[in-house]
Amino acid sequence: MQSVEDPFAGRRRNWRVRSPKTLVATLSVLLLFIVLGIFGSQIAPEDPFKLDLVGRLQAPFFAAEGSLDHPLGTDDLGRDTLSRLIYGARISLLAIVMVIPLATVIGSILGILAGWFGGWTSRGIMALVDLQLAMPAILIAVFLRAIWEPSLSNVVIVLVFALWATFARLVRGETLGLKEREFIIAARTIGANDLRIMVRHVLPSLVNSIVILATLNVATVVIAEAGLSFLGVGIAQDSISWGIMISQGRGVIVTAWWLVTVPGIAIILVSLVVNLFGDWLRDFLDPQLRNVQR
Amino acid sequence: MRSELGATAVGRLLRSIAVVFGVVSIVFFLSRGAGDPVSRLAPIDATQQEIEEAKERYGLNDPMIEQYGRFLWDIVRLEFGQSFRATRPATEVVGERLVATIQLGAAGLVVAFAIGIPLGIVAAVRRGGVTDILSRIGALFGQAVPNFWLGLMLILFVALYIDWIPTGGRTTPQSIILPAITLGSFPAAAVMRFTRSAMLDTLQQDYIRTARAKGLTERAVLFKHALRNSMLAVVTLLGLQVGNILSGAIIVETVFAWPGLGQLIIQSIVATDYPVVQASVLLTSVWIVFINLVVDVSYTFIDPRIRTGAI
Repeated sequence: MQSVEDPFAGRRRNWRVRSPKTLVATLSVLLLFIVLGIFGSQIAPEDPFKLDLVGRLQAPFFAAEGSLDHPLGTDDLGRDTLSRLIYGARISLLAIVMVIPLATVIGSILGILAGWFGGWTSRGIMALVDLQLAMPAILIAVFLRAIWEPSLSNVVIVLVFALWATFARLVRGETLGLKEREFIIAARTIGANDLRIMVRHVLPSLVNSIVILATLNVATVVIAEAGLSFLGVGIAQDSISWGIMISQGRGVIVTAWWLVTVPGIAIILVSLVVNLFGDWLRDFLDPQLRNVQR
Repeated sequence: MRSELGATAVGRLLRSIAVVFGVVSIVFFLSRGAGDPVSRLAPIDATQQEIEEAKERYGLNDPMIEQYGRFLWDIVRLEFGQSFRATRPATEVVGERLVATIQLGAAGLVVAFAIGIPLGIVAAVRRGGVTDILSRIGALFGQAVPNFWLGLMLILFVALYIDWIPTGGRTTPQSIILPAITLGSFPAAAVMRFTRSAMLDTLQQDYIRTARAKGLTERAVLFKHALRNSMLAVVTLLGLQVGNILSGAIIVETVFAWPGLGQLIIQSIVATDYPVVQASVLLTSVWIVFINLVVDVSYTFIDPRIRTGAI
């Protein structure tokens, strides 16, 4: 107990991806999610909008009264839960594909500018960061909902607004550190201009950290999209998102527990494997970056 | 050195004021974009002329820049006007809901720290032990579980098995149990991880070895020496959580029909009740900015090295 060194170093792998087997499992789930997100409409066994009032609120197959006709049961309008779940993957995937690159690029550019030029540039950009921190993103979502009809682009705007600052802070901090390094000073000495140094020398040294942070934010996007759609300020209520499925199942939660439980488990599973993958990537790319802010 | 400290404090304060100014400006333009409250709130049989008169009375026909100027001046005087919906002063409406949110937020923080700190300490002291492994797995799941879903699962469980805990509203003292657990469980994971790593850092310091070498009991070493010095990190985190808890509260209040500020903000935006939206969002952002300021200042008291610029 008193020993200073970590007795578990090197064999601590219960919950982290260390062995190839766990990595393969993680990647398989991730791949499944991506495939379902892209080809969901071809894979889904039924039309997710097809109503069947006679066969409504059927239990999933593992429950006592369930059957394999609808493996994950049906909702209060008789729609097939499994098919809706598969369709729902698309919105999560779309949100990730749109939000993460935008937030990463905007945050990184502002962060590198703030770090490199310092002074008023830095003060101005950091004031924007402060502004973001002082305004819960969910409020922006509600405002946008009042201005425009609900749509995926509202979700994207809100989440980019919520996430860019994390990237800006990380990149600014690392740029500040790099500025004093010999290779940057050397580049400056031979007369390279600011833009060239930032693009050719600073940015390549930051790519690892940026990629890791982006990966670690993917789960945030999945959870936040579901949360906004659940509150009714995300995508339109007649489209299919895991958050909307949960909100629609709310009314019948006690009689039809699977309607809330199943999409929630999908969200957890995706977030979990993405985070595990992010942890693995972090250890793989840069072991020193263990404490990067998530 | 003293004047330097003063200058930093003034700089910080100016920055905070600038942030609040930015937030209220964003709120002003977003809420003007959200629609025209008079047409929406007017009775169905109101004539076009009556609507125009009402707009004139509320100053909604003036140029935007003039409305903005008046809005800023009102805020400086802390004058938010009448709620369009409740026809009472907006501050009164906000004040009523604030109490409920403060209760919920405080209860959530108590849950977070009451779970997080002890688990973090045990996990650090018995590193690699059962508590350590379980709580780290818990933290991993904590980052993957949406809190509205956790809330619904608690409702499901309680509705089926525990009949003395209400699953919504704010009627009995027990009403707060489920929302507080839901709100507190996610910060709890963060508090746990923070406490653990702070304790691990501290336990490796030379003065801990010295304390042990001079024969202090393990208890004294842990609580008097290690724990106290680990608390700096935890205080920072407390600040962050106090600021963040409001965003969490918005979702949790919706799930449990808790009549707090978060619910009020959402309802008022949907109903284009500008005065209430403005008063409550201003309050929220001032709160967050103020907390960040307090955290920065309290640093310098807890750790004098920050004041002297040594770290």
